[in-house]
Amino acid sequence: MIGTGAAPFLPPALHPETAEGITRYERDLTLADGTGISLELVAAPFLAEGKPAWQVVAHNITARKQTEEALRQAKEWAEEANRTKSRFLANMSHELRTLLTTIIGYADLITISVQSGEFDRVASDIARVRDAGKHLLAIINDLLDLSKIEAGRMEIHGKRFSVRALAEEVIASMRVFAQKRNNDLTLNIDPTVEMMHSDDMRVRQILYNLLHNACKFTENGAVTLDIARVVSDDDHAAHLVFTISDTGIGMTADQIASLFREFTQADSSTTRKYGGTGLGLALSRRLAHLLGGEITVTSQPGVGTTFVVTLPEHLVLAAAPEPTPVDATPISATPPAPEPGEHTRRLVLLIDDDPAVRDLLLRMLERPDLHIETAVDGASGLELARLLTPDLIILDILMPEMDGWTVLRELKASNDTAAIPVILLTIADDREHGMLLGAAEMIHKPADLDRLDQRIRTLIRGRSAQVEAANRQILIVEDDETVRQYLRRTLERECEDWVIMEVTDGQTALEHCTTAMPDVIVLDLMIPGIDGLQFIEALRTLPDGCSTPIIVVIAQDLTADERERLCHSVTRILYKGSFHCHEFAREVRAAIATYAQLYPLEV
Amino acid sequence: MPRILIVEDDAAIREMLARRLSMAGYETVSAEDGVRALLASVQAAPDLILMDMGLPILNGWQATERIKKRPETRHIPIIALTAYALNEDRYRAMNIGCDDFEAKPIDFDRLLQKIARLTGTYEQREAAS
Repeated sequence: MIGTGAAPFLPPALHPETAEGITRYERDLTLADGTGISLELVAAPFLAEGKPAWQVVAHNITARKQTEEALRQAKEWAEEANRTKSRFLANMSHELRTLLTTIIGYADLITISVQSGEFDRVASDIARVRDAGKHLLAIINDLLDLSKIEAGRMEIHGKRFSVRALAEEVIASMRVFAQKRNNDLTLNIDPTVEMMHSDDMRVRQILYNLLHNACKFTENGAVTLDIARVVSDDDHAAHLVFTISDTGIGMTADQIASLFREFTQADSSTTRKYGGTGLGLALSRRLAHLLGGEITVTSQPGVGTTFVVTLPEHLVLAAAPEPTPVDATPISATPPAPEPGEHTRRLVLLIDDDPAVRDLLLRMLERPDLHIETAVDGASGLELARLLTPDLIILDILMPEMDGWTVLRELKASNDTAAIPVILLTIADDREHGMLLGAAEMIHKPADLDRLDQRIRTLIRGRSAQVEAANRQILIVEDDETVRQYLRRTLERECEDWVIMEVTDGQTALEHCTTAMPDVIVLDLMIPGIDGLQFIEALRTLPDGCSTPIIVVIAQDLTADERERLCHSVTRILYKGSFHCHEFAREVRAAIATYAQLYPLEV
Repeated sequence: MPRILIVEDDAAIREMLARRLSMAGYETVSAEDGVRALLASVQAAPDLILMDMGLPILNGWQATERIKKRPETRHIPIIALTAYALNEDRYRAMNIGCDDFEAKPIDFDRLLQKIARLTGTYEQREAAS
């Protein structure tokens, strides 16, 4: 620090001439060797030989700062742990309540049956109570195991056993379950794999859990357990690698991220469809850690999932019964689980009359986070769009009776469906026509499916993203001073961040759009020079102008011809004097939202 | 008799609800996911909907929002029937337009009272008794 001059130590924004009294402040400095220190400084002004000067006393508070930072981190960790625990309890409560609903509900039904002397269904009702009870017991057992591990009380007993014998036993116990879903179950053991010294009960539990999972999420497919032995180059330690792979439904990256959390199956609705406690994977990973090993997973939606369990061939017992250290993610420190009910799929509506295309697209787009409903013609497509309000519509152009253009026009004309992004499937190259009618994307048949898949992702993401309204540009085209002022005031009040520009005639508006296309245009039809309709037609021929939302403000009713010309190319028509300022602002926001959905930022 | 749409993905609970409600004199139709709920809410013209929240495809919150936004189905009373039983879950359900909320496991007497009140059969029953 020597030689740096006095500047770093002087008080902030003070000069000796103007300073009064003693100033206390803190500074972070970097020493010559790169280490950072924190100083607390006390500066007192005084006169040295008649000239103002400072006396500064520095106190090294680096250690105190570090303690404070450590305390702050500990507090954050504790708060996060507390939140996670609450979420865990909420999820557990949900699982238990669901099972108790069945148990109590069927017990009531049995009581009613017995009282009324009708015994037909009693046996099957009792079976339901028993199944739910067993499921409840499985959850409680898994919970107890997890809490034992967390408290450091899970006992691990090492012994020598044959890996082959154990694997064959697990496979045999899984056989019936695998056949239920018509899955081939295969075991491959490398000849170098022989004996293992570990806790056989826990190894069995891990393999059973993972194989059970694999069979559960696979139908008419294959489930394989491969066992190999690897010896590390560094320390010559031998590990056994158990690879459990399936050809099942697979998972997305997001689903994998939440996989090992307690009570979160990749999609909570799968709990009902596939059963399971939602604790098995979390438990398996904890057990693998206890045995000195690890579990990793790779997966691809629609292709399958592979779990790899790596365990030391010879268990080092000393490491096992230690209480779980703070940083080893105990239950209470798992990452935040999603909100209840947030697991859901995006809804896509596919309207195409060709069964082959429907089939192909259904198969190609099969992903756990998408659900596709299909319609075989335009009319039923429109009906489904209205009933379901899907997140995206894929629309074929060439259909008998009602063609895709008509469907698209109807979709865009209805308040309920106008905002839904539409991807057009077409053989004809009619991009401009589609864009003019409000389509978000044109995909040519035979569909380029990689591109379709990517567009679907982008469109759905754009739709769900919050629309960033800051610095949006709005162009008001209106010759009447009073109306223009009113529009401007309304927009300024309701949409503070937006840049509002005004022009008074069509020609200037068009020039403005040529140099800088606004995000929304508010347009009076009766303007001097080229009128509103001509302006729209000219605008739609500009490079960026085909999709800009236009809100038309008019004073009088439109003729049928004017309405026809307008209805395909403007977002909304508002009548002067009959609309409220809030309604106007809402229309502008909606127009921007639609625009952002149709043209989301490429990520 | 009023028709009740049961939206529930758990088959055991769905069947149990249908049996109890038909014993109480209601006609029932069932849907097992959010999409089927949306379709049935129009096609079956129910007088009331019992909506589970943790549903596949579209969850109960999403389905309720869409049903309550549609002019033709907006009037149908919806009772959220869910194992998410915290107070915040209740507020969340009411906020998106549910008319009432019952936690699982189900208190059937109370549920039947709520159904009767929302379908207008409560007054009839009171008057009859």
